[in-house]
Amino acid sequence: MRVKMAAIFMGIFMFGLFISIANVFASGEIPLPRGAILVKEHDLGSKMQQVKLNVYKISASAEEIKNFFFKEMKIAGWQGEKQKDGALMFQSSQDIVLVVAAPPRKPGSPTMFSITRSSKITEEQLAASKKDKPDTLSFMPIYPKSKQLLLMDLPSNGVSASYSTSDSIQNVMFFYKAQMPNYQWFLAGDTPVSEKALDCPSCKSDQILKDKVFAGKEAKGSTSKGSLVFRRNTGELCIIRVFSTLLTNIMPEVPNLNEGGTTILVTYNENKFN
Amino acid sequence: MFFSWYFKNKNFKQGGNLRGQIAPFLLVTLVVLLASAIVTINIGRVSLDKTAANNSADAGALASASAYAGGFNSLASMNETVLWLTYQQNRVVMYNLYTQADEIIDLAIIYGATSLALALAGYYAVQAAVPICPWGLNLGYLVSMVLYIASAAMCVKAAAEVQKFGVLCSYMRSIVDSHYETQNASYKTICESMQKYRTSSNDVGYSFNFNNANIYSKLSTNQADQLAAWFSAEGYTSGSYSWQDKISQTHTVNADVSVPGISSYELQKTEYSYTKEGDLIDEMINTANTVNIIFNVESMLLWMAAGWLAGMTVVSFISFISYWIGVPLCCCIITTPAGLAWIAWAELECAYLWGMWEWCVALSIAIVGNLMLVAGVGGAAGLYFLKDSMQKAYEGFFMDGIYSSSGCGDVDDILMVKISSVTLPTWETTSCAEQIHPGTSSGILSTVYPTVRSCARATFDKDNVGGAAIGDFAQDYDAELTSAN
Repeated sequence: MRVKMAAIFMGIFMFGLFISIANVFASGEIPLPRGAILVKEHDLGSKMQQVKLNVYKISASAEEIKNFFFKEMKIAGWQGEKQKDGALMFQSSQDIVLVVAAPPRKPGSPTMFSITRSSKITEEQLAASKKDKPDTLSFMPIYPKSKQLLLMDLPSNGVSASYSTSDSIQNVMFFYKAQMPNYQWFLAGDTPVSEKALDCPSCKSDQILKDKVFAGKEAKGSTSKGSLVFRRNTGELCIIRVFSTLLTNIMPEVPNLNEGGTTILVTYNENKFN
Repeated sequence: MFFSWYFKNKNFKQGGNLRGQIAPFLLVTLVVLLASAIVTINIGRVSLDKTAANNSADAGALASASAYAGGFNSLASMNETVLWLTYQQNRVVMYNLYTQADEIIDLAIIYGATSLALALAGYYAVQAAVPICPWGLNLGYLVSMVLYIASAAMCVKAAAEVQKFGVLCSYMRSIVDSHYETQNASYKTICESMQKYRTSSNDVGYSFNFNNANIYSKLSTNQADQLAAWFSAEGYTSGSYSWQDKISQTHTVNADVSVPGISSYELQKTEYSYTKEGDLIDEMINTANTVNIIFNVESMLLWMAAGWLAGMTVVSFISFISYWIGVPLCCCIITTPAGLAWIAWAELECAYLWGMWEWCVALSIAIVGNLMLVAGVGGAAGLYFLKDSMQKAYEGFFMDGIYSSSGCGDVDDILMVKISSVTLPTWETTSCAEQIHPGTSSGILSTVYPTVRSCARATFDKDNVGGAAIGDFAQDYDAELTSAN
């Protein structure tokens, strides 16, 4: 009797184990509709993520293909949603899959659909690039006494970097205008700094807030932005965008409370034709 | 005249000297034969020239169409491997950033709301606290202080999440900038390569047209060398070649090849323009910075309010001790001068502390109460704006609409997805050949050769797949003569 019970429990355990393993492996698989023929395969890889794009053709309507994926991908363990433009987006803990099916050009011709699978950029990857002392970049100067918020590769041969500083937006713009030519960049575009006042109706109308928090003065706030576009003769591009937020007259007697910050965003593009 | 004379004299055989009778006949026959020969040679030569012109026209049309079909197949391939692939790649990254940012902002909203709830609870705990004197220790301040500290900690967490959100927005902005730059540069390169394909197809057409014009057979060795040199120098583009024969007569062969250019590219674009998408993300970056500062300021003010409440707790404790020490003293030594002095001191202390209490509580209430207004209105509005804007920015990157571009650099302000289709005035190449050869004035009869001309058309879209095949990445273009000779 005991042996029988043990065998039954063992069987249930093994079955459960099998199902679990099957689920783990299934979550990474992308089901394909019957009759789909692989037309092309593209492998793209940046330092940051791997992207694989497959193009298929099939004799089914675009709607049938979408319905198939919407149903089967969920069974395979993917979380998904239909997007407004008809594309389907699925994600697992590690990957993202985009399915796009276009209606055939003329009746009778096969429907083409593409599946793009990409590894996810994790929050940890983004956070890891945050540093008090910025990394040196070979192609441009780093703003002195700034903190690095982000330094990551872009999918298409480029780099995105972000820094924060307490200096004014004008100083930052001047620094890059003066320093970039030393790195063989020439200024190709300059969007002057534009300022937008922050509106806080309750700050103005509330007497207690006015008296106690803003010490009788008018609390002011503004956001500014400006950008510089640099190019090299080699075709490379570097866009520097500077953002600034400034709040003044908030309890002036308290030090460090009148805070402001300037964020520098650098987008570097190698512009290598694929 | 001749025949009448012959018939008249044909019976003089026997009588007179009939030698030389055949001469006029032979003369006439020879003239007829010569004329026939000349006519035969002329017709044969014209026929040869006509055949050469036909061949030239057919070969030129088919060769240029074939080369151009190759260009269109290449265009379909580049559309897929460059433009479409870049869009897909960036679209996936945008989704990745959007989902992460959405989770982050949800977390920031939770932290912000918790902070607000804690501050609110602390605010009411202060208001519910009873005055210090003369009853003493009031735990309401202590509770309120703890709540404010917890609220400040939540604010710090919310600020950190909002900063993370700002970083994601920055990366998103870089993606949009990079996408615009990459797609435009790629499109320009693709478009220019199609112009080159058109030129080279034209050249190929001329090459085949001239090479089938049977010119070499009419040239001396030196002239053949000159023709070869002309081919390589002119690149078949001048369309006309002339040479002189041994008697200094000028012969000309004209070729005309026409390959239609793409009149417009229909570009699939995203819902938002580059400027609209960029401005929205810029606004998000600035708002994230502002909300981050609001949360930091709020956290500092909460710390300050907590500090005042800590002071109030101490004051309350002192008051409590003073009172409970004073009461037994009052009972025991109420009648003594020392006892009366103690009571007076306690009253003074209470009066002083009462004033201080009023000030601290008023400030604490003012700051926390009104801070909630700022946080409630500003912070919540900011967070809602960020959440809503992030969704708009992501959906703004969706495929939507067509932009018609007529020039290679003319893409205006769009974020490009791919080339949806191309438009051409015609899907055929045309090739014409013309042979002009002078006649001969020497001899009995002068000859005039007519100018022979022939034209042919060939399609580079044999299966009639049209311009939309580019958008489907189908490399189905092939050439076929549609109007041959």
